[in-house]
Amino acid sequence: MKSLPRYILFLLASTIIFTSCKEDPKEETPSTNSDAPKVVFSLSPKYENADFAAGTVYFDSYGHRIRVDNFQSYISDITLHDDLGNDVVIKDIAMWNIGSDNTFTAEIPAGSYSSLSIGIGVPEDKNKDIDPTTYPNDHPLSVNGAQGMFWTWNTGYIFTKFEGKADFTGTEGASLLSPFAYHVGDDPFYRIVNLDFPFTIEAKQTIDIPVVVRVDQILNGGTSQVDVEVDYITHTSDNPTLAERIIDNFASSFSIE
Amino acid sequence: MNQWLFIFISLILLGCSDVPPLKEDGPYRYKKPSFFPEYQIPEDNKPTVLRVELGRRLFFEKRLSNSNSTSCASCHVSSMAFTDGKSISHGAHGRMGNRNAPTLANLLWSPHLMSEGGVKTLELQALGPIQDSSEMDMTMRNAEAQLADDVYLQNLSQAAYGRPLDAYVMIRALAVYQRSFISGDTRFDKYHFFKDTTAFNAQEKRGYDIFFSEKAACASCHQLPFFTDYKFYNIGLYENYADAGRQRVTYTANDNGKFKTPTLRNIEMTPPYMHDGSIRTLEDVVEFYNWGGKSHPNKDARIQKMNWTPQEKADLIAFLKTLTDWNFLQNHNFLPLQ
Repeated sequence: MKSLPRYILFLLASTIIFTSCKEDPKEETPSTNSDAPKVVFSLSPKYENADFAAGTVYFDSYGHRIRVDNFQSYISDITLHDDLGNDVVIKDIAMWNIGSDNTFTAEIPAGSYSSLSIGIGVPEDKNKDIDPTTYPNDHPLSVNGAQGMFWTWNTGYIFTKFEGKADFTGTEGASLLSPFAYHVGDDPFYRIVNLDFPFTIEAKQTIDIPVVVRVDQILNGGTSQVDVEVDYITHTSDNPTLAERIIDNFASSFSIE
Repeated sequence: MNQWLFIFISLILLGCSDVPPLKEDGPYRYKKPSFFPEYQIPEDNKPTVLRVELGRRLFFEKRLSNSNSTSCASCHVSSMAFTDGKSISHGAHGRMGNRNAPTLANLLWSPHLMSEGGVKTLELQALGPIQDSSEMDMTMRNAEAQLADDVYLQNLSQAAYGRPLDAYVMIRALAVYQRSFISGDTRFDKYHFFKDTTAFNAQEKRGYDIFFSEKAACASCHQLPFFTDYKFYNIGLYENYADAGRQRVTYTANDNGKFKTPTLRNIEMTPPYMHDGSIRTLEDVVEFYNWGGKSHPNKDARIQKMNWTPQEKADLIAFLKTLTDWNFLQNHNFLPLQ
């Protein structure tokens, strides 16, 4: 019994020594093969034919002056389709934000590819009634990673937010006082964009996939023209028709340069 | 000598800490009345003594709001069956919410939450009020940061869930605690389930007969034992609803103005009534159903003019007051821990 305190002190000291000597855990990096073919996927915003510039006031097709303050969207299941009918998923889920660098690199098998598909939103199996607190904080579907793109009253992710302010006088220098906000989500509004992109890739090669989103086409798109003076808000449930027009316009705004 | 030195140092270290020790942990059992059905709880959130305690502390925790002024208990007061007596609740910075605060009794059996039924679990429901700008107006990251330095809560979280007090723990602990809000100890229960005929006076018995009559059909939606069927109905409260109710979830026009059947347990203690708190008293609610509501294409066919006499209306109200569970309203486990 007399030796017990000495034994405990020894254990404590040993623990401290060994703990402090232990190497810091190295951050895990995905295994990479330097010879493997790679693709560099980028998603860049343009307004008409020029690069989109945050804070810039643009004219829409109705002659309204608009400024886009926030445009973010989940993109998912970004997949390359090869000539043999195989699919290669290069990204399962990501948060695209108009103000951020939206580029990533992925390794793919050598071969000939014909097209690319991109999901807009969160696929059904990851969307409704999923607990976002089960994801690690840096995951785009976590409570923090979602950056407010989550509905708590009808649990599921907001797929796309497109927000800004408008001036309907068309006068240069006039204040933009009228807000518009389009929040689109829920399973019926998930969209898959298919883009032709034929290429052949071999070992050690890197190919860029420069995808462009035409921001002007969100309001003046392939499917409908949205007047921000009339149709200025939807949270999907309050105006699902407008939500559909917005998401369809968004889906038609993708191209590869 | 060394032995005494070790004890001395240990005592000093213990004395430096003013963090109280944790209670002994163990499984926690929800006490349900015999006439309530069995319940199911999520596999990853079984109740324990410490989880319930953590949930209880978080339920009263004002640091979970942006203004440090609002907790869950601000709008869900146990003596009012977890409502707040206001038409529309006020949140952080005095902001008005959108709806009347619902009672939280018997959530253990609720298959969905919110008046439009868009939330499937109590765990997920907790994310709503904390982050809603008109309620507690916090991000979960800020909520975590607010409590990061609370050593006792952090110890409690580690002991209860084996991880720091993050969003994962918060919503689970709150759910575990709220599942303990069980109300099934009323004079009605004695009369109906235990056949104690002395539990009701003559007027209450007449009210009971009206309530369960085919003509009134109250019990066809307010079904036993919870006095709700958890389904969604339009009762003709408005011709045009500012709040679309169930339609917000289904996008179907047929669901416009439909709201979940509320429980009637403790109804005496939860005025004002309806999803928007637009009817102030129980007497006015009975008068509304007697009148039959406004016309609306989605109005339920059972909502019709009743032509009740003043005596019948008084009887019905007397019956509804037998649904008050005083042990529930005065349960000290639903008050903050000191």
